Amino acid sequence: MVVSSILIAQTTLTVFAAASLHQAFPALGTQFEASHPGISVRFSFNGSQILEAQLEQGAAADIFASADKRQMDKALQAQLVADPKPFASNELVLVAASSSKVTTAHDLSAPGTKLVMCAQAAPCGAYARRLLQGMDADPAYGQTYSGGVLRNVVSEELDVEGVMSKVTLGEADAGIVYRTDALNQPNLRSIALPALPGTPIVYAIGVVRTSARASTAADFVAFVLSAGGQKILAKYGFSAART
Amino acid sequence: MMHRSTRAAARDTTLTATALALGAAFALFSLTALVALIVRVSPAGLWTALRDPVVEQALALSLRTSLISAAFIIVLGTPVAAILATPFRGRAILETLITLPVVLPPVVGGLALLLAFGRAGLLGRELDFLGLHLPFTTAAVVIAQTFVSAPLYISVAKSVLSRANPQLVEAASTLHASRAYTMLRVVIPPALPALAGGLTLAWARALGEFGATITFAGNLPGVTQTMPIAVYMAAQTDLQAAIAVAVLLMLLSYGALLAVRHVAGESSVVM
Repeated sequence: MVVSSILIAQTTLTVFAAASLHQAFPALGTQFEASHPGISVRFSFNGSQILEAQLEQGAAADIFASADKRQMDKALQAQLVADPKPFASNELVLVAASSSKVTTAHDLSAPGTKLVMCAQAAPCGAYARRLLQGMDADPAYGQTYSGGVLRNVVSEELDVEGVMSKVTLGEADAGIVYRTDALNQPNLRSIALPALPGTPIVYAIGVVRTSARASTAADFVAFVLSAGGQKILAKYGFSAART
Repeated sequence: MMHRSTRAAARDTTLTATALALGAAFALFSLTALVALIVRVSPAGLWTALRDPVVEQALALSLRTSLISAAFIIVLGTPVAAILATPFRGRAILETLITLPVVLPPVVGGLALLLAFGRAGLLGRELDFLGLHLPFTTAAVVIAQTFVSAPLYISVAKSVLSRANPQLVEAASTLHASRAYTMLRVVIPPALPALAGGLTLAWARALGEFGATITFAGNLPGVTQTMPIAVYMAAQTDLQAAIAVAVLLMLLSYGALLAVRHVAGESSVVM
Protein backbone atom coordinates (compact mmCIF):
# COMPACT_ATOMS: atom_id res chain seq x y z
CA MET A 1 0.00 0.00 0.00
CA VAL A 2 2.79 2.37 1.02
CA VAL A 3 4.83 1.32 -2.02
CA SER A 4 1.97 1.82 -4.43
CA SER A 5 1.26 5.31 -3.14
CA ILE A 6 4.90 6.18 -3.66
CA LEU A 7 5.03 4.73 -7.16
CA ILE A 8 1.78 6.23 -8.40
CA ALA A 9 1.83 9.98 -8.90
CA GLN A 10 -0.68 11.70 -6.64
CA THR A 11 -3.57 13.47 -8.30
CA THR A 12 -5.70 15.74 -6.13
CA LEU A 13 -9.29 16.52 -7.08
CA THR A 14 -10.77 19.69 -5.64
CA VAL A 15 -14.52 19.53 -5.15
CA PHE A 16 -16.56 22.69 -4.46
CA ALA A 17 -19.66 21.38 -2.72
CA ALA A 18 -22.76 22.89 -1.13
CA ALA A 19 -22.53 23.28 2.66
CA SER A 20 -25.35 20.77 3.15
CA LEU A 21 -23.16 18.04 1.59
CA HIS A 22 -20.43 18.41 4.23
CA GLN A 23 -21.08 15.01 5.81
CA ALA A 24 -22.05 12.91 2.81
CA PHE A 25 -19.30 14.06 0.43
CA PRO A 26 -16.27 13.21 2.59
CA ALA A 27 -17.72 9.68 2.84
CA LEU A 28 -18.02 9.58 -0.96
CA GLY A 29 -14.46 10.89 -1.23
CA THR A 30 -13.05 8.19 1.07
CA GLN A 31 -14.80 5.47 -0.91
CA PHE A 32 -13.59 6.94 -4.22
CA GLU A 33 -9.99 7.18 -2.98
CA ALA A 34 -10.13 3.54 -1.87
CA SER A 35 -11.07 2.39 -5.37
CA HIS A 36 -8.78 4.86 -7.19
CA PRO A 37 -5.21 4.55 -5.86
CA GLY A 38 -3.10 7.66 -6.32
CA ILE A 39 -6.07 9.98 -6.29
CA SER A 40 -7.01 12.08 -3.32
CA VAL A 41 -10.15 14.18 -3.08
CA ARG A 42 -10.37 17.39 -1.09
CA PHE A 43 -13.45 19.51 -0.49
CA SER A 44 -14.37 23.13 -0.08
CA PHE A 45 -17.82 23.41 1.50
CA ASN A 46 -19.71 26.68 1.38
CA GLY A 47 -23.05 28.18 0.36
CA SER A 48 -23.58 27.22 -3.31
CA GLN A 49 -23.91 30.88 -4.26
CA ILE A 50 -20.53 31.64 -2.67
CA LEU A 51 -18.86 28.74 -4.51
CA GLU A 52 -20.44 29.88 -7.78
CA ALA A 53 -19.09 33.42 -7.22
CA GLN A 54 -15.64 31.98 -6.44
CA LEU A 55 -15.69 29.97 -9.68
CA GLU A 56 -16.66 33.12 -11.60
CA GLN A 57 -13.60 34.85 -10.15
CA GLY A 58 -11.39 32.02 -11.38
CA ALA A 59 -11.06 29.79 -8.31
CA ALA A 60 -9.35 26.51 -9.21
CA ALA A 61 -11.75 23.60 -8.74
CA ASP A 62 -12.35 20.37 -10.64
CA ILE A 63 -15.96 19.71 -9.65
CA PHE A 64 -18.91 21.86 -8.62
CA ALA A 65 -21.82 20.35 -6.66
CA SER A 66 -24.65 22.83 -6.10
CA ALA A 67 -27.67 22.57 -3.80
CA ASP A 68 -29.93 24.09 -6.42
CA LYS A 69 -30.50 24.42 -10.11
CA ARG A 70 -30.30 28.23 -9.99
CA GLN A 71 -26.62 28.34 -9.03
CA MET A 72 -25.75 25.49 -11.40
CA ASP A 73 -27.58 27.27 -14.25
CA LYS A 74 -25.62 30.42 -13.48
CA ALA A 75 -22.37 28.45 -13.66
CA LEU A 76 -23.53 26.78 -16.86
CA GLN A 77 -24.41 30.11 -18.49
CA ALA A 78 -21.02 31.53 -17.53
CA GLN A 79 -19.51 28.43 -19.22
CA LEU A 80 -17.86 27.40 -15.95
CA VAL A 81 -19.14 23.83 -15.90
CA ALA A 82 -19.98 21.30 -18.58
CA ASP A 83 -22.99 18.99 -18.66
CA PRO A 84 -24.24 19.10 -15.03
CA LYS A 85 -26.22 16.09 -13.77
CA PRO A 86 -28.85 15.97 -11.01
CA PHE A 87 -27.66 13.52 -8.33
CA ALA A 88 -29.76 13.89 -5.16
CA SER A 89 -32.88 15.41 -3.67
CA ASN A 90 -33.57 16.86 -0.27
CA GLU A 91 -36.42 18.38 1.74
CA LEU A 92 -36.81 21.21 4.19
CA VAL A 93 -37.57 20.55 7.83
CA LEU A 94 -37.84 22.58 10.97
CA VAL A 95 -35.25 22.02 13.71
CA ALA A 96 -35.76 23.05 17.28
CA ALA A 97 -33.96 22.35 20.55
CA SER A 98 -35.73 19.63 22.58
CA SER A 99 -36.62 22.33 25.12
CA SER A 100 -37.92 24.80 22.52
CA LYS A 101 -41.49 26.09 22.63
CA VAL A 102 -41.77 25.41 18.91
CA THR A 103 -43.35 22.00 18.32
CA THR A 104 -45.24 22.46 15.06
CA ALA A 105 -44.96 24.67 11.98
CA HIS A 106 -47.93 26.66 13.31
CA ASP A 107 -45.79 27.95 16.21
CA LEU A 108 -43.47 29.76 13.80
CA SER A 109 -45.88 32.65 13.29
CA ALA A 110 -46.54 33.12 17.02
CA PRO A 111 -45.25 36.55 18.11
CA GLY A 112 -41.94 36.40 19.93
CA THR A 113 -40.71 33.20 18.31
CA LYS A 114 -37.05 33.50 17.32
CA LEU A 115 -36.55 31.92 13.91
CA VAL A 116 -33.31 31.68 11.94
CA MET A 117 -33.12 30.76 8.28
CA CYS A 118 -30.76 31.15 5.35
CA ALA A 119 -30.50 34.46 3.49
CA GLN A 120 -32.41 34.76 0.23
CA ALA A 121 -29.15 34.50 -1.74
CA ALA A 122 -28.44 30.99 -0.43
CA PRO A 123 -30.39 28.07 -1.92
CA CYS A 124 -31.73 27.06 1.51
CA GLY A 125 -33.07 30.60 1.98
CA ALA A 126 -34.74 30.79 -1.42
CA TYR A 127 -36.36 27.36 -0.89
CA ALA A 128 -37.57 28.28 2.60
CA ARG A 129 -39.24 31.49 1.42
CA ARG A 130 -40.94 29.67 -1.46
CA LEU A 131 -42.21 27.00 0.92
CA LEU A 132 -43.58 29.53 3.44
CA GLN A 133 -45.35 31.48 0.71
CA GLY A 134 -46.80 28.21 -0.60
CA MET A 135 -48.16 27.45 2.88
CA ASP A 136 -50.22 30.67 2.75
CA ALA A 137 -52.53 28.96 0.24
CA ASP A 138 -53.19 26.12 2.71
CA PRO A 139 -56.25 26.99 4.89
CA ALA A 140 -54.59 25.13 7.76
CA TYR A 141 -52.00 27.94 7.95
CA GLY A 142 -53.88 30.91 6.48
CA GLN A 143 -53.01 33.73 4.11
CA THR A 144 -51.02 35.78 6.61
CA TYR A 145 -48.86 32.84 7.69
CA SER A 146 -45.64 33.60 5.79
CA GLY A 147 -45.85 37.28 6.73
CA GLY A 148 -46.05 36.37 10.41
CA VAL A 149 -43.22 33.85 10.13
CA LEU A 150 -40.88 36.20 8.25
CA ARG A 151 -41.45 38.88 10.91
CA ASN A 152 -40.05 36.41 13.44
CA VAL A 153 -36.78 35.91 11.57
CA VAL A 154 -34.01 37.17 13.88
CA SER A 155 -31.08 36.31 11.60
CA GLU A 156 -30.50 35.48 7.94
CA GLU A 157 -27.54 33.14 7.90
CA LEU A 158 -25.02 32.69 5.08
CA ASP A 159 -25.60 28.96 4.85
CA VAL A 160 -27.38 26.08 6.51
CA GLU A 161 -24.44 25.53 8.91
CA GLY A 162 -25.01 29.02 10.33
CA VAL A 163 -28.67 28.15 10.98
CA MET A 164 -27.73 24.85 12.63
CA SER A 165 -25.19 26.49 14.96
CA LYS A 166 -27.64 29.16 16.16
CA VAL A 167 -30.25 26.47 16.90
CA THR A 168 -27.75 24.03 18.45
CA LEU A 169 -26.40 26.75 20.75
CA GLY A 170 -29.98 27.38 21.90
CA GLU A 171 -30.07 31.02 20.76
CA ALA A 172 -32.91 30.54 18.27
CA ASP A 173 -36.20 28.78 18.99
CA ALA A 174 -36.23 27.11 15.57
CA GLY A 175 -34.49 27.05 12.21
CA ILE A 176 -35.38 25.96 8.70
CA VAL A 177 -32.78 23.51 7.36
CA TYR A 178 -32.49 20.49 5.08
CA ARG A 179 -33.74 17.14 6.34
CA THR A 180 -30.18 15.80 6.03
CA ASP A 181 -28.83 18.43 8.46
CA ALA A 182 -31.34 17.46 11.11
CA LEU A 183 -30.36 13.76 11.04
CA ASN A 184 -28.32 12.34 13.96
CA GLN A 185 -28.80 15.42 16.15
CA PRO A 186 -29.73 13.92 19.54
CA ASN A 187 -30.43 17.29 21.19
CA LEU A 188 -32.61 18.64 18.40
CA ARG A 189 -36.12 17.87 17.32
CA SER A 190 -36.84 17.60 13.62
CA ILE A 191 -40.34 18.75 12.62
CA ALA A 192 -41.72 17.90 9.19
CA LEU A 193 -42.80 20.69 6.85
CA PRO A 194 -45.18 20.42 3.89
CA ALA A 195 -43.69 19.50 0.50
CA LEU A 196 -42.09 22.34 -1.44
CA PRO A 197 -44.47 23.60 -4.15
CA GLY A 198 -43.12 23.82 -7.69
CA THR A 199 -39.68 22.50 -8.60
CA PRO A 200 -38.25 20.18 -5.95
CA ILE A 201 -34.84 20.55 -4.23
CA VAL A 202 -32.41 18.90 -6.61
CA TYR A 203 -28.63 18.87 -6.25
CA ALA A 204 -26.57 18.98 -9.44
CA ILE A 205 -22.92 18.10 -10.07
CA GLY A 206 -20.65 18.95 -12.99
CA VAL A 207 -17.00 19.02 -14.04
CA VAL A 208 -15.43 22.50 -14.08
CA ARG A 209 -14.41 23.39 -17.65
CA THR A 210 -10.96 24.67 -16.72
CA SER A 211 -10.08 21.50 -14.78
CA ALA A 212 -6.67 20.06 -15.67
CA ARG A 213 -7.89 16.66 -14.41
CA ALA A 214 -11.19 16.56 -16.29
CA SER A 215 -11.22 12.79 -16.93
CA THR A 216 -10.54 11.95 -13.26
CA ALA A 217 -13.16 14.52 -12.29
CA ALA A 218 -15.64 12.85 -14.67
CA ASP A 219 -14.84 9.53 -12.92
CA PHE A 220 -15.78 11.08 -9.58
CA VAL A 221 -19.05 12.45 -11.00
CA ALA A 222 -19.82 9.00 -12.45
CA PHE A 223 -19.11 7.47 -9.02
CA VAL A 224 -21.53 9.89 -7.32
CA LEU A 225 -24.22 8.87 -9.83
CA SER A 226 -23.41 5.12 -9.56
CA ALA A 227 -25.36 2.69 -7.36
CA GLY A 228 -22.48 2.71 -4.83
CA GLY A 229 -22.41 6.50 -4.64
CA GLN A 230 -26.19 6.76 -4.36
CA LYS A 231 -26.13 4.24 -1.49
CA ILE A 232 -23.76 6.48 0.49
CA LEU A 233 -25.92 9.54 -0.21
CA ALA A 234 -29.03 7.62 0.95
CA LYS A 235 -27.19 6.74 4.18
CA TYR A 236 -26.86 10.47 4.87
CA GLY A 237 -30.56 11.06 4.24
CA PHE A 238 -30.58 12.18 0.61
CA SER A 239 -33.14 10.71 -1.77
CA ALA A 240 -32.68 9.95 -5.46
CA ALA A 241 -32.76 13.01 -7.71
CA ARG A 242 -36.33 13.91 -8.67
CA THR A 243 -36.84 15.58 -12.01
CA MET B 1 40.96 54.83 7.00
CA MET B 2 39.77 56.17 3.69
CA HIS B 3 39.36 52.67 2.36
CA ARG B 4 37.19 51.55 5.29
CA SER B 5 34.79 54.46 5.07
CA THR B 6 34.30 53.84 1.32
CA ARG B 7 33.38 50.25 2.13
CA ALA B 8 30.96 51.37 4.81
CA ALA B 9 29.39 53.81 2.37
CA ALA B 10 29.00 51.06 -0.20
CA ARG B 11 27.39 48.83 2.43
CA ASP B 12 25.02 51.64 3.34
CA THR B 13 24.02 52.09 -0.29
CA THR B 14 23.34 48.35 -0.67
CA LEU B 15 21.24 48.33 2.50
CA THR B 16 19.26 51.36 1.39
CA ALA B 17 18.68 49.85 -2.05
CA THR B 18 17.50 46.54 -0.54
CA ALA B 19 15.16 48.31 1.86
CA LEU B 20 13.79 50.41 -0.98
CA ALA B 21 13.22 47.37 -3.19
CA LEU B 22 11.48 45.38 -0.43
CA GLY B 23 9.43 48.41 0.60
CA ALA B 24 8.38 49.08 -2.98
CA ALA B 25 7.41 45.42 -3.45
CA PHE B 26 5.22 45.51 -0.34
CA ALA B 27 3.62 48.84 -1.25
CA LEU B 28 2.88 47.49 -4.73
CA PHE B 29 1.37 44.31 -3.28
CA SER B 30 -0.99 46.20 -0.97
CA LEU B 31 -1.86 48.91 -3.45
CA THR B 32 -2.67 46.46 -6.26
CA ALA B 33 -5.47 44.93 -4.17
CA LEU B 34 -6.90 48.34 -3.30
CA VAL B 35 -6.60 49.65 -6.86
CA ALA B 36 -8.30 46.48 -8.17
CA LEU B 37 -11.37 47.47 -6.17
CA ILE B 38 -11.33 51.12 -7.14
CA VAL B 39 -10.95 50.62 -10.89
CA ARG B 40 -14.02 48.41 -10.93
CA VAL B 41 -16.37 51.14 -9.74
CA SER B 42 -17.52 54.38 -11.34
CA PRO B 43 -18.66 57.49 -9.44
CA ALA B 44 -22.15 56.82 -10.80
CA GLY B 45 -22.00 53.25 -9.48
CA LEU B 46 -20.86 54.55 -6.11
CA TRP B 47 -23.78 56.97 -6.03
CA THR B 48 -26.29 54.24 -6.98
CA ALA B 49 -24.89 51.97 -4.25
CA LEU B 50 -25.09 54.76 -1.69
CA ARG B 51 -28.78 55.29 -2.48
CA ASP B 52 -29.67 51.59 -2.23
CA PRO B 53 -31.92 51.33 0.85
CA VAL B 54 -30.10 48.19 2.07
CA VAL B 55 -26.75 50.00 1.85
CA GLU B 56 -28.15 53.14 3.46
CA GLN B 57 -29.51 51.06 6.32
CA ALA B 58 -26.25 49.17 6.75
CA LEU B 59 -24.16 52.34 6.58
CA ALA B 60 -26.35 54.08 9.18
CA LEU B 61 -26.21 51.04 11.45
CA SER B 62 -22.43 50.76 11.07
CA LEU B 63 -21.86 54.41 11.91
CA ARG B 64 -24.25 54.30 14.85
CA THR B 65 -22.89 51.10 16.38
CA SER B 66 -19.21 51.92 15.81
CA LEU B 67 -19.60 55.36 17.42
CA ILE B 68 -21.38 53.86 20.45
CA SER B 69 -18.60 51.27 20.65
CA ALA B 70 -16.04 54.09 20.54
CA ALA B 71 -17.79 55.78 23.47
CA PHE B 72 -17.70 52.54 25.48
CA ILE B 73 -14.06 52.07 24.55
CA ILE B 74 -13.08 55.50 25.95
CA VAL B 75 -15.09 55.12 29.15
CA LEU B 76 -14.03 51.55 29.91
CA GLY B 77 -10.65 51.44 28.17
CA THR B 78 -9.05 54.59 29.59
CA PRO B 79 -9.13 53.44 33.25
CA VAL B 80 -7.74 50.06 32.18
CA ALA B 81 -4.92 51.80 30.29
CA ALA B 82 -4.25 54.11 33.27
CA ILE B 83 -3.95 51.10 35.59
CA LEU B 84 -1.69 49.27 33.15
CA ALA B 85 0.50 52.37 32.72
CA THR B 86 2.07 51.93 36.17
CA PRO B 87 4.05 48.76 36.90
CA PHE B 88 2.63 46.16 39.30
CA ARG B 89 2.97 42.44 39.90
CA GLY B 90 1.27 40.38 37.18
CA ARG B 91 0.89 43.35 34.85
CA ALA B 92 2.29 41.49 31.84
CA ILE B 93 -0.14 38.61 32.36
CA LEU B 94 -3.15 40.93 32.67
CA GLU B 95 -2.09 43.04 29.72
CA THR B 96 -1.64 40.02 27.46
CA LEU B 97 -5.05 38.72 28.51
CA ILE B 98 -6.70 42.04 27.66
CA THR B 99 -4.97 42.16 24.27
CA LEU B 100 -6.03 38.60 23.39
CA PRO B 101 -9.31 39.47 21.55
CA VAL B 102 -7.28 41.28 18.87
CA VAL B 103 -5.42 38.14 17.84
CA LEU B 104 -8.33 35.74 18.38
CA PRO B 105 -10.07 34.78 15.12
CA PRO B 106 -13.16 37.05 15.20
CA VAL B 107 -15.53 34.11 14.74
CA VAL B 108 -14.03 32.50 17.86
CA GLY B 109 -14.51 35.80 19.67
CA GLY B 110 -18.17 35.82 18.62
CA LEU B 111 -18.60 32.23 19.76
CA ALA B 112 -17.04 33.10 23.13
CA LEU B 113 -19.49 35.98 23.51
CA LEU B 114 -22.40 33.64 22.67
CA LEU B 115 -21.22 31.08 25.21
CA ALA B 116 -20.94 33.82 27.83
CA PHE B 117 -23.88 36.13 27.16
CA GLY B 118 -26.15 34.01 24.95
CA ARG B 119 -29.47 32.58 26.07
CA ALA B 120 -27.86 29.24 26.89
CA GLY B 121 -24.59 30.88 27.91
CA LEU B 122 -22.70 31.15 31.19
CA LEU B 123 -24.66 34.23 32.29
CA GLY B 124 -27.76 33.40 30.23
CA ARG B 125 -30.02 32.79 33.21
CA GLU B 126 -28.91 35.94 35.05
CA LEU B 127 -29.36 38.08 31.93
CA ASP B 128 -32.79 36.53 31.31
CA PHE B 129 -33.76 37.39 34.91
CA LEU B 130 -32.85 41.00 34.15
CA GLY B 131 -34.88 40.83 30.95
CA LEU B 132 -31.76 41.19 28.78
CA HIS B 133 -31.68 39.16 25.58
CA LEU B 134 -28.55 40.10 23.71
CA PRO B 135 -28.07 37.81 20.67
CA PHE B 136 -29.72 39.08 17.46
CA THR B 137 -29.91 42.65 18.79
CA THR B 138 -28.12 45.87 17.88
CA ALA B 139 -26.66 45.82 21.41
CA ALA B 140 -24.92 42.56 20.48
CA VAL B 141 -23.31 44.34 17.50
CA VAL B 142 -21.90 46.98 19.87
CA ILE B 143 -20.66 44.32 22.30
CA ALA B 144 -18.91 42.40 19.51
CA GLN B 145 -17.27 45.56 18.15
CA THR B 146 -16.16 46.74 21.60
CA PHE B 147 -14.79 43.29 22.50
CA VAL B 148 -12.69 43.06 19.35
CA SER B 149 -11.45 46.64 19.01
CA ALA B 150 -11.04 47.98 22.58
CA PRO B 151 -7.61 46.32 23.04
CA LEU B 152 -6.24 48.42 20.15
CA TYR B 153 -7.12 51.60 22.05
CA ILE B 154 -5.98 50.22 25.39
CA SER B 155 -2.51 49.29 24.16
CA VAL B 156 -1.98 52.69 22.51
CA ALA B 157 -3.34 54.52 25.56
CA LYS B 158 -1.24 52.45 27.94
CA SER B 159 2.02 53.23 26.17
CA VAL B 160 1.15 56.94 25.86
CA LEU B 161 0.20 57.28 29.53
CA SER B 162 3.26 55.37 30.74
CA ARG B 163 5.53 57.87 28.96
CA ALA B 164 4.20 60.86 30.90
CA ASN B 165 6.80 63.45 31.91
CA PRO B 166 8.27 62.01 35.17
CA GLN B 167 9.21 65.48 36.48
CA LEU B 168 5.59 66.65 36.26
CA VAL B 169 4.32 63.49 37.94
CA GLU B 170 6.96 63.89 40.65
CA ALA B 171 5.97 67.54 41.16
CA ALA B 172 2.30 66.59 41.48
CA SER B 173 3.24 63.97 44.01
CA THR B 174 5.24 66.43 46.18
CA LEU B 175 2.18 68.69 46.12
CA HIS B 176 0.22 65.78 47.63
CA ALA B 177 -1.97 65.24 44.58
CA SER B 178 -3.64 61.80 44.57
CA ARG B 179 -2.62 59.34 41.85
CA ALA B 180 -6.05 59.57 40.23
CA TYR B 181 -5.92 63.38 40.26
CA THR B 182 -2.42 63.33 38.78
CA MET B 183 -3.59 61.00 36.04
CA LEU B 184 -6.63 63.14 35.23
CA ARG B 185 -4.99 66.58 35.44
CA VAL B 186 -1.32 66.01 34.67
CA VAL B 187 -0.85 62.84 32.63
CA ILE B 188 -3.93 62.71 30.39
CA PRO B 189 -4.23 66.30 29.03
CA PRO B 190 -0.96 66.37 27.05
CA ALA B 191 -1.69 62.80 25.85
CA LEU B 192 -5.09 63.67 24.37
CA PRO B 193 -4.03 63.84 20.68
CA ALA B 194 -2.33 60.44 20.89
CA LEU B 195 -5.34 59.00 22.75
CA ALA B 196 -7.61 60.31 19.99
CA GLY B 197 -5.34 58.55 17.50
CA GLY B 198 -5.65 55.25 19.36
CA LEU B 199 -9.41 55.70 19.55
CA THR B 200 -9.74 56.32 15.83
CA LEU B 201 -7.76 53.18 15.14
CA ALA B 202 -10.10 51.19 17.39
CA TRP B 203 -13.14 52.84 15.81
CA ALA B 204 -11.94 51.91 12.30
CA ARG B 205 -11.51 48.30 13.47
CA ALA B 206 -15.04 48.36 14.92
CA LEU B 207 -16.37 49.71 11.62
CA GLY B 208 -14.82 46.77 9.75
CA GLU B 209 -15.89 44.09 12.25
CA PHE B 210 -17.46 41.04 10.59
CA GLY B 211 -16.81 37.63 12.15
CA ALA B 212 -17.66 38.28 15.79
CA THR B 213 -20.71 40.28 14.74
CA ILE B 214 -22.27 37.66 12.49
CA THR B 215 -21.57 34.93 15.04
CA PHE B 216 -22.86 36.76 18.12
CA ALA B 217 -25.43 39.16 16.66
CA GLY B 218 -26.48 37.44 13.44
CA ASN B 219 -27.47 39.12 10.20
CA LEU B 220 -30.72 41.03 9.83
CA PRO B 221 -31.03 44.21 7.72
CA GLY B 222 -31.59 47.29 9.89
CA VAL B 223 -30.91 45.45 13.15
CA THR B 224 -27.58 43.65 12.92
CA GLN B 225 -26.53 43.85 9.25
CA THR B 226 -23.52 46.19 9.32
CA MET B 227 -21.62 47.41 6.24
CA PRO B 228 -19.05 44.58 6.16
CA ILE B 229 -21.83 41.98 6.35
CA ALA B 230 -23.83 43.81 3.69
CA VAL B 231 -20.76 43.73 1.43
CA TYR B 232 -20.38 40.00 1.94
CA MET B 233 -24.08 39.35 1.27
CA ALA B 234 -24.06 41.56 -1.84
CA ALA B 235 -20.94 39.83 -3.21
CA GLN B 236 -22.99 36.65 -3.54
CA THR B 237 -25.70 38.13 -5.73
CA ASP B 238 -24.51 41.41 -7.19
CA LEU B 239 -20.72 41.72 -7.28
CA GLN B 240 -20.83 45.23 -8.78
CA ALA B 241 -22.92 46.54 -5.89
CA ALA B 242 -20.63 44.77 -3.43
CA ILE B 243 -17.57 46.44 -4.92
CA ALA B 244 -19.23 49.86 -4.72
CA VAL B 245 -20.10 49.32 -1.06
CA ALA B 246 -16.60 48.02 -0.35
CA VAL B 247 -15.04 51.13 -1.92
CA LEU B 248 -17.35 53.29 0.18
CA LEU B 249 -16.21 51.48 3.32
CA MET B 250 -12.60 51.83 2.23
CA LEU B 251 -12.88 55.59 1.63
CA LEU B 252 -14.46 55.99 5.06
CA SER B 253 -11.65 54.03 6.75
CA TYR B 254 -9.02 55.89 4.75
CA GLY B 255 -10.48 59.20 5.84
CA ALA B 256 -10.46 58.02 9.46
CA LEU B 257 -6.83 56.90 9.34
CA LEU B 258 -5.80 60.13 7.64
CA ALA B 259 -7.58 62.03 10.40
CA VAL B 260 -5.58 60.04 12.96
CA ARG B 261 -2.33 61.24 11.43
CA HIS B 262 -3.59 64.77 11.47
CA VAL B 263 -4.84 64.68 15.07
CA ALA B 264 -2.06 62.59 16.56
CA GLY B 265 0.75 64.20 14.57
CA GLU B 266 3.67 62.57 12.83
CA SER B 267 5.53 61.67 16.03
CA SER B 268 2.61 59.71 17.47
CA VAL B 269 3.04 56.13 18.61
CA VAL B 270 0.03 55.12 16.55
CA MET B 271 1.67 55.01 13.16
